[in-house]
Amino acid sequence: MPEQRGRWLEGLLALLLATLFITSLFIGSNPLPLWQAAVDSLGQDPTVISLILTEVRLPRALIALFAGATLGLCGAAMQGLLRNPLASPGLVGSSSGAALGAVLMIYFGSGSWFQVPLGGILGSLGATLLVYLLAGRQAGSVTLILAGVAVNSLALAVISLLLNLAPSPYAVQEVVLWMLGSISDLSLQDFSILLPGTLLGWLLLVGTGRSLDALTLGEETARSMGVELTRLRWRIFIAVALAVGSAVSVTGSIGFIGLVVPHLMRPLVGFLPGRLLPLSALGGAILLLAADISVRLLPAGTDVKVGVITALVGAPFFLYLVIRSRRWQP
Amino acid sequence: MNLISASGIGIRLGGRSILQQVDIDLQQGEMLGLIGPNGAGKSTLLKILSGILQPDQGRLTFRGQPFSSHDRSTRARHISYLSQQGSAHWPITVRQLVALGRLPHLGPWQRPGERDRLAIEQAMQATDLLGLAARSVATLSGGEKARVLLARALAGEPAILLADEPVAALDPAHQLDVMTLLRRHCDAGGAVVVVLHDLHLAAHFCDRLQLLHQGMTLETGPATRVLSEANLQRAYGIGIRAGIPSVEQALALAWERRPAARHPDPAKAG
Repeated sequence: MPEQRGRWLEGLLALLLATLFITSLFIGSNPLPLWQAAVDSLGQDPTVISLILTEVRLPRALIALFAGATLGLCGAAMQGLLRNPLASPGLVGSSSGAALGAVLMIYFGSGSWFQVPLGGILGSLGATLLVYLLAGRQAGSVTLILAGVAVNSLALAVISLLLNLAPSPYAVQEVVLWMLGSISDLSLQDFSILLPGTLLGWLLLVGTGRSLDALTLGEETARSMGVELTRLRWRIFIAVALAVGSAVSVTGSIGFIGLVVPHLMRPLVGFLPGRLLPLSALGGAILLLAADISVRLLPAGTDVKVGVITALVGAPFFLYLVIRSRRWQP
Repeated sequence: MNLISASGIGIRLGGRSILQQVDIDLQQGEMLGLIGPNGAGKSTLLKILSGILQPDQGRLTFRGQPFSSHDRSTRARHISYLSQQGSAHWPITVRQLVALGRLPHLGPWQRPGERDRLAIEQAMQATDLLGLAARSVATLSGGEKARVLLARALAGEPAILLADEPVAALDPAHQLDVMTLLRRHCDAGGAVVVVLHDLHLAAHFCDRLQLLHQGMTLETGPATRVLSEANLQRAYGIGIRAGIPSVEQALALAWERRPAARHPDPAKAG
């Protein structure tokens, strides 16, 4: 039975995730005596190793876990909603819109902690809605990709304009590096900025699985089966904007996880979109943690951003999907 | 009591009037055939009855209560809709697709139980799909796909089945099979509204026909009355060839389903 295989899979993935999470705490320019560091951090006086653990390694691992899970989960939800295996936060504008919103806030905001994630959330929602309106409800892959390309280009163009007009070259460099997608040098405060929107978004996606399953049969049949389609659509768009907007405003654009992960998981759960949601969240967290660990294993001095790694792996995979999706689309 | 009763239904879509002043009633155990030329509004009427579309005018009741007093999911448990161009967007298995028919019966966190499994099994047996259970729906023929989609609708154990051209893609043998299944659904205490283009099948299987023409009801009643020469001429612009003495004779169904070795008789399968 696929049901049982699913439970077994979830357990296995959770175990893998836990292993990677702990590995992520170990790995870095200095190996960390983890137990000692944990004990020290509970004590009154922080030691160097406990500071490395709580101020450097832990936030990095937590952010990789939460941002990765968000990207996987939101990719699966978008693909289910649009019934299109190519839909993903990166493609339908959620990520680039979030980046634009965040950059706008960095430039014009007053600097309060909530402004950048708020900009990310609103930018994400705006861009996603724009792609959806451009492509139309029954969008095939080609229309959706074209609409996504158009909106992504627009968002990037506006970001470029802002960078172009920026008064300080340092600010430009900072924004460009952030846009590459990185989770190094982040603190627990960054994690706390990411957390509220992420959890709210996840919460909204909880319980949409059955409706997404029904959507397998098309919008009309799903409506006849009791799915409140308009409500579902808004719920998912807002959830994705909240979670992806918060993640991107902290990590920058980390591409392709939302596209690749649901695809790898789909055959394992028999293709039903509802069962795919939790597995894609686990898979996304695993992939981003693994990518982040691999970045740290590179020789010292080569500072490769994790977003660059996911793009290098993800883009060829995307091409492969474009070719394969021709079989699935009616 | 009427299961469904609608009066004065009117709807405009895209600035065009699709239905005007249409009444429709459906009794328990009744099989109602909706016929009429392309663009007469048959599919739209079916979508209104299934709750997919909201009519601009008119009153709709289900079991004597206004439609709006039941929420969408309650209605979905009693009324199943089988769309015209049904398809599956993911290559799931036949059993998974049929199981989707149970969704209206499950709460958000409820796992399918014994009763659900039984309903799925029965629907697959009735549609002769047990041999295909593990196949991906992406690999099925048109006829097999039509049966799978019908099985999905049956698995919900609805009182009312609304089927939009369920036999359009099928060969004569499977047309008879599907019509027989719909008939049996009525005989077992359900009710069916079926959109048909094949007037022979409609006359043979339906208790009552409703002929739509340009968004209005031209005639409703038994086949002999609805399929009069005058009505056929007016709605379709077709006449009955000379030499056939009566409309009934012209519309007599000359086919019957005989059990074949390869394909068991669905009447015995259930």
